[in-house]
Amino acid sequence: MNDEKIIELYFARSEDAIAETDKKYGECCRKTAYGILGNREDSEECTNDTYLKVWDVIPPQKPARLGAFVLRILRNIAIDLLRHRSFSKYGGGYGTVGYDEIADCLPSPESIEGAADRMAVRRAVEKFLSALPREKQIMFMRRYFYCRTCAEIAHDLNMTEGKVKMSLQRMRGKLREQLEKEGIGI
Amino acid sequence: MRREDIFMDIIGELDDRYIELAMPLPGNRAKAADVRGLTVVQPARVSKKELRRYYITHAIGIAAVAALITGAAVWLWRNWDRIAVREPDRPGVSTAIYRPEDDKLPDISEAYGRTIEFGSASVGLSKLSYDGTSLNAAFNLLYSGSDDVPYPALWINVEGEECEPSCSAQPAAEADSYNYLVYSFVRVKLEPGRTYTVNVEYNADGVRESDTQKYSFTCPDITASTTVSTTNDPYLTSAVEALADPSEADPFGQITDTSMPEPYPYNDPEHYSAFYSQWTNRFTTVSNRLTELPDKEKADEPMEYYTLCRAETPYTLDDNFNLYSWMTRLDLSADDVCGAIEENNEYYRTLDNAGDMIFNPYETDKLRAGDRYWIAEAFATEYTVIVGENVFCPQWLYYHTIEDYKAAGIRPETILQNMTMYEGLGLTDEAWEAFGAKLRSYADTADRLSQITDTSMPRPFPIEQDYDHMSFESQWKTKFIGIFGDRDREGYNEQQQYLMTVRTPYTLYDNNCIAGDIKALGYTAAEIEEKIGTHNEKWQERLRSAEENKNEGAIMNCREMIFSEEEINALVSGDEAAIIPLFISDCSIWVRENDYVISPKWLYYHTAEDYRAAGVTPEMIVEKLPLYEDAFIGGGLGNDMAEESWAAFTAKLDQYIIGGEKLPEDMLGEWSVTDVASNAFSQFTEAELEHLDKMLDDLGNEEAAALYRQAYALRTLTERDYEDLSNDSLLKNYYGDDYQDDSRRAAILFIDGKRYAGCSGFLWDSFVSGYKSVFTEDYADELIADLPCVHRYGRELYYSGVTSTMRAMIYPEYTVPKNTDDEIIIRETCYNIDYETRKPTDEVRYVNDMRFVKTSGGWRCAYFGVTDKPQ
Repeated sequence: MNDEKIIELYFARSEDAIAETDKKYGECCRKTAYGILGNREDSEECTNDTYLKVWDVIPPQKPARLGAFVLRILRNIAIDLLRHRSFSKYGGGYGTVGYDEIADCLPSPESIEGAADRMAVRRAVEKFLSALPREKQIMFMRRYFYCRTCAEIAHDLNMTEGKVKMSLQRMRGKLREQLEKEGIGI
Repeated sequence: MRREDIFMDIIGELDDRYIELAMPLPGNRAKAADVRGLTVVQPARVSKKELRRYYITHAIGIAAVAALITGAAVWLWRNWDRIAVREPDRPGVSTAIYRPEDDKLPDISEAYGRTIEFGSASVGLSKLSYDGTSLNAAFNLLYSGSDDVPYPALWINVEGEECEPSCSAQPAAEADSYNYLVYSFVRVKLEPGRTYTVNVEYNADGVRESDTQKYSFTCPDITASTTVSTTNDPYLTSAVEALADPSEADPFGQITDTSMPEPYPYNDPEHYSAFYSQWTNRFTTVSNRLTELPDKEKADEPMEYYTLCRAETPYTLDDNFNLYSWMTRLDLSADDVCGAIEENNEYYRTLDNAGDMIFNPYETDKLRAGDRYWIAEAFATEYTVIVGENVFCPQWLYYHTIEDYKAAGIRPETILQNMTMYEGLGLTDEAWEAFGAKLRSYADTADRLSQITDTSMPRPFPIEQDYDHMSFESQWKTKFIGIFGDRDREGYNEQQQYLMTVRTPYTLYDNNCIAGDIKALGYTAAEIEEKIGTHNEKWQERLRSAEENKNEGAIMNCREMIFSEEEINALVSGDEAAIIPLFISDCSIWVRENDYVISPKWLYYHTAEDYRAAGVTPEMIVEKLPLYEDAFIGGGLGNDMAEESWAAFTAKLDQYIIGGEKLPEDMLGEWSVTDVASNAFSQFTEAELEHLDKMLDDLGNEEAAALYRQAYALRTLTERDYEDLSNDSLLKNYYGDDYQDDSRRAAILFIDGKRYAGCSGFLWDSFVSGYKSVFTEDYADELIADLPCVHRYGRELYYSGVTSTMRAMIYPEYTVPKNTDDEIIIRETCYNIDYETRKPTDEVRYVNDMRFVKTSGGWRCAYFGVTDKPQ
């Protein structure tokens, strides 16, 4: 079923909407939640919470891209849950995305002084992404938005794991350069 | 917020198209191939020469791998005894088991320094003390882990009685190639003055092993704590001597509140680790790989040292055995230790359920950096209270007095925050009654204004929103946050710890704003100017770039981020009254009498009682409400407050502003111009009415004639001055004796600190529509804006008290200077009345031209002067 039809179901308050959402995006949701939380029970709970939230907000909202909308909600719920558990002490990173991987490529908290800075960073990251080939964009987003392991990305993109790791490392380097060029302190 | 949080948040905010592009839906693998472009492999002809080269190359490769495997096997064979599973390595040199020379049992103190050997473990009996009611014994246990022995346990047997198992290891430690050192503590209630027989038992595999040696122990008949600790061991002697003089003992490290009952029905510190432990499990476990780092002879010395249990209630990193105290006592380099930890991590990752033994990079970073505060912060359990580098676990809080809390720098706000958590520690009813009462009496002294006191409020913003809600959260403009607060600066950690206790900042100094940083970290005037100068340069550069690109939004943002001379001077002066108005955010309230700065978040999470305590008046909130509406429900950026949250927030504010419940929506009615107009001429004399009716009839325009009557009614009704009803007696005069009824009370709105308005029971919009059905659009807006006695609150129309409705003493005469198809002007000439004869005089008081125009919606009044304003 296409997204428009699913959204129509939500507007009609039909519970089939959730079933159809799960059919289409369920596996992706569960895997993404697992990538962040590292726990199957929590991932399942997180996915269910996401459906509940989507049910609550559609209507009145009518997302242009249902998949992105659902995944964004799921990711926020999962990250919220992880932060709620003081994960710095117990996990050290966001599921498969380790602290050391993130640490060297984005601005220090001190250099983000407010909403304006944050928006500037977002724009810089989007600028950086838009300049990448499509394959690299997918790789970057799979790793850092969907929190997939390098092995999974390699499998999906028909590459070796080593190549994925190397590409991501280079992308992080380039992102760092891009941010520095934009005057954003690392 | 940390670096990784920022990263993940920003990735989460990226445009939908990237999220959709990379979405790994089932079946997308094929799509991924499209992305790369399919590579078509063409069949190729292979010559015999090429085939031969292929076989030779591969043969060499295979031979090289075989050689490597053989070499590794030989090395393993030769070094097997160094790397294979070993019998448990007991700390230090084994001491011969003590054998008494006669039948009399040796005193328990002779057990010091002795190591009790069991089949698969070594136990060091390290400390015994009697506090008047209980014998407290401390052990260290070195055991060889095994899948079959998930929970090794120790008992102290006293004349056949026994404690519950006192020591257990986490399942994560079930590894047959590792030995574990575990520190444990046992407490047994014994009668003072009696002599007991004591021995130790160990359970490793379901079968208890009893120590062959028994000791006698005579409980001193005292109530104060006494340490009975003597030993002949040279190392231990020195350690014991250090504690010999109780007056030198750190009082924080000893029990000071001896009135507390036993916290649990049986003594099992490992089982109740949330109560007893400062540290996470992995921080108190030294694996065999780590014990290989120092000289074998010395590796166990710290353990021996800490088995003396220098502190009954440990609170520093040095008070008990943990990874940090172990490595510092052995003078090991953090890099070596962290290297070994990382090797261990690899091993633990191969085990199921060993997750809590794996150190994360954040923790190893902190160990490497060596800052005691950050180490304590990284490894303290969530149940602890951290003050500086001291870590106070529930056990410490339990056995110390409120005076000790204060002396230790523990803030009551922290206790208030932790209360619910401590209630869940599973203490006995009696213990929680005592502990809870102590905690509550301290928490009651907390600064309520800095804490969330209205816990009934839902999450303010929907979870799918991943934006900063600065206008909600922050007391300050964006530029006032950040810039200062260097991590390396002295006092930074203390400031951060303090700020962690502040949930709802309300002063200039209780958040990470510049003024707070300047005060807490002691920046000098020169430093302030330098830092702001650097900041300004950065933003001026961005401003130039934005101006070049003609990016209006960016230009505005950049300008807002640059500090003016006045702002810099105010910061340098430190004058709160000068700083606050320059940097306060639009949505925040400045309470001038105490210089509190109240953000919407503060209002959201506090009660009306707190509003009053903070000096926030209803009028202050009324003034900000339109801004809140714009910021939180009219953003248009998809970052509106959740519907239920906004409802809860405004209901709370309403109650405070209204001074009672608002009228239910379904009781609000439509305001009617006709109803108002019907009574407007009740004070006219018959002659006056006749005169007016004749003039209107002569117009020959029924619509305009009706309009005149309505316009007159509206102008006289709402033009009157308001009456100051600033106290209860005036209110009573105005509303009558029953104004304090619930229904009346509900109708009072406080405005400007002195004006009170009653709820009309009408919808505001119907009032505005009524006006616009009579007057032209612009004139209606102008009139409504100037009305002194009409107020809008939410969707409701409120009237404030107005002066008498008696007509002025005038006599009106009407003429019609203009009467066309699209404009009518009615001139009203008002003559004064002779008070004696009650007849009009020749003295003209007012002349007003009332103007009516034809609009697309029909006739409307474009001007109507008020001639009979009440006297």
